[in-house]
Amino acid sequence: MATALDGEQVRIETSEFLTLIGRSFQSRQEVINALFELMHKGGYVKTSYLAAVLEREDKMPTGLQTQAYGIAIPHSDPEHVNCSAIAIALLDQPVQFKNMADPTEDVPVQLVLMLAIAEKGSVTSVLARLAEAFMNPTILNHMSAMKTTKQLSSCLSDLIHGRLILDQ
Amino acid sequence: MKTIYLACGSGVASSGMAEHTLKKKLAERNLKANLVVVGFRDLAGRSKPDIIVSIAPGLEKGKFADLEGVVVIQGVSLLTGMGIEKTIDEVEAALKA
Repeated sequence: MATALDGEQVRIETSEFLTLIGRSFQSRQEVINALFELMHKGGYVKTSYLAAVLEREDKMPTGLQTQAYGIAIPHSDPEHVNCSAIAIALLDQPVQFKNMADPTEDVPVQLVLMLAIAEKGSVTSVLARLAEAFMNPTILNHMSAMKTTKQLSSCLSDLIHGRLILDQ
Repeated sequence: MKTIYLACGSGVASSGMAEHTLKKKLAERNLKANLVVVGFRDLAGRSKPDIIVSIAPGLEKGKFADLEGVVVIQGVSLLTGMGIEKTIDEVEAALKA
């Protein structure tokens, strides 16, 4: 799945098997756990990744209130990661995450992107494209309109490879 | 040229995203600065920058490093886009101070 791009190899895995849609979750811990199971089954992360992500989420939460809707980007340090990957969950019913800007505040989150990054300073073009997407309601609304895991994972793959073209 | 540290919890994900946006926004306003991405825990071992744009709160309490004399600006807007121009206004003011 690696593609040459801007002189940088995009070495981050996305796949239908790292994608959840329409599942019902009671808490952020449940979503994080479900996404971890997918990542761990695929061998992308170590067992220690789960506890590291949950601990980080308690201390330095990752909920973000964007213009479109609430999103979250749970992640951990590279030492818990074998191979860079993004697992994604689109939720029918929002789940409360704490706000990165103010950990005492809740953010109702509709889209969770769990990031496993194996090396500091890597995948910068992927992070840049995600940053552009978070600020662009057209892209986020396009993503939340996806109906199947296949659609959502190809949408994410197009996005991070710079192939997602939408009418603004 | 002034130095800006872009700081987040680990210096792996959030700050990488914010770096892209801050670079773009500084260029739009024709502002120049040395931009360095750091994790909170790396701060103590580094020399003091002029400005820290912090993606997560907590730095102002001096928990991670002595930041006296450093302008600390909250920068989560670099990830959400909400209130981003105000953040860049603050950075611009600190760069020109």
